[in-house]
Amino acid sequence: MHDPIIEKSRFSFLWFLPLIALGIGLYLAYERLNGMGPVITISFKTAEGLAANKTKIRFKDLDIGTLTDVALSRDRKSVVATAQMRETAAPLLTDDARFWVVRPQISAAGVSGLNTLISGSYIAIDPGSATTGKRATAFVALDDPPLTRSSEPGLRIRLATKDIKGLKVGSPLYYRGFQVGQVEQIKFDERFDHIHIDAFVDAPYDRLINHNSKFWNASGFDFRVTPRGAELRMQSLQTFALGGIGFSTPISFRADTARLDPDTVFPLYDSQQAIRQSGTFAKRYYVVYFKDTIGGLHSGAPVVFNGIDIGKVVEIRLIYDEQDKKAVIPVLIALEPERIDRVNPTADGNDKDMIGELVENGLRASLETASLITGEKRIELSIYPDGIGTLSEDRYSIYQVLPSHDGNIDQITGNVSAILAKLSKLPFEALFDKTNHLIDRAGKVFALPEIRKLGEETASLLKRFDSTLGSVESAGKNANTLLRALDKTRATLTKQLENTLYGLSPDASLYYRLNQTLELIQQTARSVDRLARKINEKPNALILGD
Amino acid sequence: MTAEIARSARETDKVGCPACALVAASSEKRCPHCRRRLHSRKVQSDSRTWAYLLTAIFLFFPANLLPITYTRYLIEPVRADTIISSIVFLWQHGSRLIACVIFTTSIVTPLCKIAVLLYLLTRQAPRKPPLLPTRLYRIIHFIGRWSMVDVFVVALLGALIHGRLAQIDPGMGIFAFAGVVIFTMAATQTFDIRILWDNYRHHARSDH
Repeated sequence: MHDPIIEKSRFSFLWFLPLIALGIGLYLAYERLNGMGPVITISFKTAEGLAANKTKIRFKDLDIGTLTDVALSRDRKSVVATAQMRETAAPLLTDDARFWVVRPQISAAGVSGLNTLISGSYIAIDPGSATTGKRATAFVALDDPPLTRSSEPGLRIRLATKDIKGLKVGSPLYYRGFQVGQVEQIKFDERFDHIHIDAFVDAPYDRLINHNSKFWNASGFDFRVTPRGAELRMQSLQTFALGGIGFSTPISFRADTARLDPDTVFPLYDSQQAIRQSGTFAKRYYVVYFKDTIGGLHSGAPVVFNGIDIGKVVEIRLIYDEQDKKAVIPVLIALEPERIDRVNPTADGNDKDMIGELVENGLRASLETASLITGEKRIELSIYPDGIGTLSEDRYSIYQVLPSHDGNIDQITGNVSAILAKLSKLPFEALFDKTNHLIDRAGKVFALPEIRKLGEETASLLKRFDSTLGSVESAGKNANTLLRALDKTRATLTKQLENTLYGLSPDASLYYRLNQTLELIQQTARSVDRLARKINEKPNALILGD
Repeated sequence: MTAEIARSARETDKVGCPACALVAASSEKRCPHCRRRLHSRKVQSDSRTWAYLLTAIFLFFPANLLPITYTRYLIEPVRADTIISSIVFLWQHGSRLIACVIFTTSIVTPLCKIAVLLYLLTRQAPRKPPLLPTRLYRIIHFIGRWSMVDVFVVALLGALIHGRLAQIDPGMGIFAFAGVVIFTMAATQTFDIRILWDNYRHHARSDH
């Protein structure tokens, strides 16, 4: 009775407590684990501003991850930061996502990231496209923040130039002075031949750009003295400090609405004027060999395509081939195929060798005299339907050989000069001597009986000459009718002349009116005479009157 | 042995009032003096202790895994500290004594209490006099309240350091930790050490 060993345990509401605690614990664990997204690594050039467990990865100013570790990479060239991302960040982590460290930046384009002065640097992400990008866990951070986000609508274009002349990353792109984009990246191409400028054109201005768009460097100012006076051009003060690119899309005879090829590289001209003048790049070099003399052709001479300037002669060389034991004259020409507007673009697009295709259709180079007076020559490119050729590799250079055609005028002038040369060589004096001798001989020859036979033949010849005269007579008749027609014309002319002269006869009204006018003038002259006399006698009459 | 087995108040049909210490007859439902309900032994001691103990055990994990404080100091990013990380932080910054104190009160003590309670609950029918359990029970009953020091420290810091230059905010961990302390104390409260002795006596007598 007094021995309750263990009390009979009834159900107690206290048992809800451990259940609730367990529930809370499990919920927190679930929350924690679920919030844990993928672990990624980002490699940076330096660890400046990066700290494990401190530096956040932020997207739209929202923390989406934290660096858990910052360590040197295995090759010791970069710093690899490991980050624990949140689950919500997972869709952003595609292989085209871009990372960069946000630090305070002060440049001509503006001031940015000032808040990081106080809060410390953080890593920003420009997420890749969720549809095309593949999931990735290793990234390489950008050195500088990108100027435009990949999600921003617009168009990326590439310009090529020899000299960037004051352009910088961030330089604005102007259309009629209105900013429509900016330069994102400037770098050399693989061969250090050109500088490639990648620019971004904001939507909807990307529609202003098509294949025929012309870009020019609007940096700094343009000062020139012309016959009309001095001229100063400047886009804006900002372009003076930042540089800038202007562009225009000329109205072409054919509206080119075709989608711009993403690989298109536009030339960047030095100035707006330079577009109209000879372009200074995007040249293609070819070698031409001519059979004839190239005298009169100088470097700098124009290369025209059916009369339209499309290039220049770059260099003329005389070289001796020791193997073949012959001398050849390669003419290096530079063509600017961009001067030819393309229409009806085909699938293979821009990389197509337009010149090569034209050569296959019969394009040939020929020498042509540009000026008959100075003898200057130029190279004319034309299509010769008979000659189908191809571009071939040059034996003496890295360029391709453009087939040549022996020019017509050139041929003629060549022949004429050859004839003249031959003429000048002729022994005229000896010829005169020989002629004298010949005349002496002729006297003797006339005495010969053979001459008599010749006389008979001459008589028959005369007869034929007579008949010829007959036809001449008929020609004379024709002339007669012509004369008659002329006579008629003369008669009408005479009549017209008479009519004209009648206008001046005393009966004519003109004559009468002329007479009257003359009388009036006579009267006026008389009164003026009287007045003059009066004034002479009494000068004060002018004031006081008679 | 038998001679040494003393008789408990319960066996002499007496019950002590826990409030006014009056010794009343077992038949009394309420204390004749202070009208408090009288129970010879704590009601549902075993079951309630288990419930509190399990709650404390479940809360022990978030208490140690979640941050107890969020510290913002000047321009540095917000720093979240768990109990362990703050101990490590203090140790590394030279405050080794404080680190030891916090380690003792925050980690060792709750773990010991939980372990002792588990030991007591699983040694309900001892064959020897339960001297060790009784001593352990006394110890945990005494030190139980001191674990709250941590909670008070965080509460004070949070209340005092609340400016623009520095700010300390309590995290979920400290609430869970406070829960651990409260529920281990409650478990200690509801556990009735007399039942061990009752059972010991019962065994000892039935053996004879």
